[in-house]
Amino acid sequence: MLGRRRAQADAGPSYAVIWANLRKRFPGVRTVLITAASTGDDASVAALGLAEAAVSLDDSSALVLVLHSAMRNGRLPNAPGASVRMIPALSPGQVRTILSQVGEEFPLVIVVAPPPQHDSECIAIGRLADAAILVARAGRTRFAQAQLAAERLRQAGIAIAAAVLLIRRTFRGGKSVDARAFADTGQIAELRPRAHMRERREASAGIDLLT
Amino acid sequence: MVERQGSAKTVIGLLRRRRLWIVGTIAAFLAAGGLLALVTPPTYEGSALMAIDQRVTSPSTDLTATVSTGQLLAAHYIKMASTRTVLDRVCSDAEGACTYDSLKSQIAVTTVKGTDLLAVNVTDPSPGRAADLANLLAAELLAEQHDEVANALQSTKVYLDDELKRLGDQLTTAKPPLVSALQAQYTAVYNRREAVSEQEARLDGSLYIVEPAAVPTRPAYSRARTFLLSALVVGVVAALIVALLVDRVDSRIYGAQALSDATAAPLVLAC
Repeated sequence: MLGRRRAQADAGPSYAVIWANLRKRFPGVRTVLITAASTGDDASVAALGLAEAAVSLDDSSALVLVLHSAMRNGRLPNAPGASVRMIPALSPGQVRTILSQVGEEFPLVIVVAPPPQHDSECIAIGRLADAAILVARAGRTRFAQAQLAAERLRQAGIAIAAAVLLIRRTFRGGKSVDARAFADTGQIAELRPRAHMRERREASAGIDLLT
Repeated sequence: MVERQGSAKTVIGLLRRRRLWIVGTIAAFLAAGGLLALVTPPTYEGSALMAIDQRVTSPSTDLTATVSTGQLLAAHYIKMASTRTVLDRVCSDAEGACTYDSLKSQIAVTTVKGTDLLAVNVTDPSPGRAADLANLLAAELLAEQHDEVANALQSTKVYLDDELKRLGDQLTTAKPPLVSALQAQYTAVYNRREAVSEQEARLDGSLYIVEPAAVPTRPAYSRARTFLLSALVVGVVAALIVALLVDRVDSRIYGAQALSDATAAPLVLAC
């Protein structure tokens, strides 16, 4: 138990390294595509980790956009803090609109997309991103799937900046440990309306503002 | 050093990744061992004790020679106990199914260390039958030994008996001057015949039953423990082989290096 807690605490520096590397190799990076290597992988965990690292290193804010096709079982992890805004279950059109209209409020926009070999939305959105990060889940993603995903991104002319291997579990025993469930479709759905009404209002207002 | 650390890490990683397979395989083998122990009947051992009196075989020789004779006799009787002649006789007297081959695998005749005793052990799923077979084997061994002694002295006895008869006949028809000479010859032959009889009696007594086998009340050894221990050892080996095979055919990514190989990304991190 202690080991697991200690290991979880070590995830932050890894994302910080990735963000520092991205900043160095892609100066002025603004949009990052994070895509899963296979359908079983949850790229939103890595997206939030990277957003949190970026916010903490640059003392700014980040916007995480999750394509509807990238959501596994309607579950997503909670946003780590107020500086990281997450908008799930978006269509490619909505993502494009947000990307074209997002202002200086969010110096970093991370788009979570499904595996490129399974959904063309990934390639479509990836062309708008400055860099791409491939996410695999240890013990779940197969070698050939990761290889194929990387190949597809390269074939589409999308630069792979890094690959992340998720070792820690987000979901345990079929129930989310640190995740919020979403009911359906385009807009933000709510699992715990009383507790999270304020967050929901803020997120809805964010979408209204941005679109 | 780094290489060794790396390989140790790989082995530990393999054991950790495949722990369910390992635990499952060992559990399956243990269950099979336990089941086998349950369905296999317990084995009982009947044990009869026999003594070899080596002094009567050569009363005039020294102690070293006596001990040496005793060891030879013990080896002789041990060998004799597993002969087809003896075991067939035991089977013919025993109740229930019994063959030479099956009985041979059930018996063990050994010297009791530091003594001149022979332990005649017979194992059987039935405690009563184990004791019966041990007692029968001891008795047949004794009978075979008596036959052996009688056969060895048979020709001498026949010769001496014929001589005594011939001399007796001559004595009845002999004239007085020859009677005393024939009488002396008859006495000498008679004495030799007595000596042979005495030797036969001594040799017959060189092997005897000290304690017949009693019906054992407890199984000779725990088969459950043997089966479970064997299952554990075999299970651990099989589990490691299974883990290695599963790991070999499993194409899933477990480490950053594998992901790096698959994606050729410039930066690969595990989070």
